[in-house]
Amino acid sequence: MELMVLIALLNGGLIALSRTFNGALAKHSHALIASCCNHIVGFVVLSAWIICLESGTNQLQGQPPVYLYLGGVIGALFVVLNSWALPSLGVMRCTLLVICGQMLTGVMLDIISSANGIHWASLVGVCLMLAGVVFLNRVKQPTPQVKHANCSL
Amino acid sequence: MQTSNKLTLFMSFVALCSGVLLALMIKLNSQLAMYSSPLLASWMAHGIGAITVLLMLFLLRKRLVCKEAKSTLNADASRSLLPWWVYLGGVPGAATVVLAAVTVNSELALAGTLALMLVGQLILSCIFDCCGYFGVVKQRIRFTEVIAMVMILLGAMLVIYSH
Repeated sequence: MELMVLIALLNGGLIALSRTFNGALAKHSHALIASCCNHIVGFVVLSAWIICLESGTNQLQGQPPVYLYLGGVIGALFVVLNSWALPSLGVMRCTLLVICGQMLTGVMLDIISSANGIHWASLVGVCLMLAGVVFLNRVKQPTPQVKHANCSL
Repeated sequence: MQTSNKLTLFMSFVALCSGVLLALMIKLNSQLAMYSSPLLASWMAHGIGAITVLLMLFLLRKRLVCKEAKSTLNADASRSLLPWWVYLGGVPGAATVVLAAVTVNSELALAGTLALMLVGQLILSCIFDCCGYFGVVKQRIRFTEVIAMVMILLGAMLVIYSH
């Protein structure tokens, strides 16, 4: 159990690391390039992993509807936006805002898809997060901004 | 200062939007994973994502080249100094999928995995910001930011555990 907790924590750290790398690349070249590198490198790594370590499970069961493949397209756009925003926000602020967007959308999707509504605790959570975002933006950004000449689309 | 605050606000909005995209992507990918495995679904998503960006780069190449020309000196100077690791964002990204599959199938289940991943992410984010690692602009974390962080984290936990 402790090991699993450690792995999960570490895994979150890896996400932060990945986004920081992409942000650094976007800052010095372009967010699209960062997303491109991220996906090509990720694809190669996962291909190697699948070929070397997983055998037998790498087969589709049934025919998934085509719209499910849109996840990849949306993921690519996510990395573009995220690595565009990260250099000027700082990692922590950016992470917080992504978490909020993610959770709020998750709750929204739940409201749309589930027939019996959502738990009250979710609503409290949403309110807390919205308040947190407002609060975050009331804090004056102390440090001078990163030069942003080449990062805009 | 005025413009930098506006920029921060705009970028905050961009980051929020990217969170929306992330949730949609996870939703679609987890459904795709039901037809195969999380690993294979992520592999396909990375492939499709790579094709998407390559296509976007191709379509936007003229605008990009224009931008590049304007700041050639700048870009060249900074790019020649780019360390090798900036290109490796995909490696931890790919490893995340593999590790998440391990923890989701353990006692932690989905909720525990999500919650701990958020915490781990925030801890490392704070460290990067405080110490200025990996090209991040070094900045002190203020007390008000810590409060905002606690509020958002608490809210996220409520959402995760109310399922």
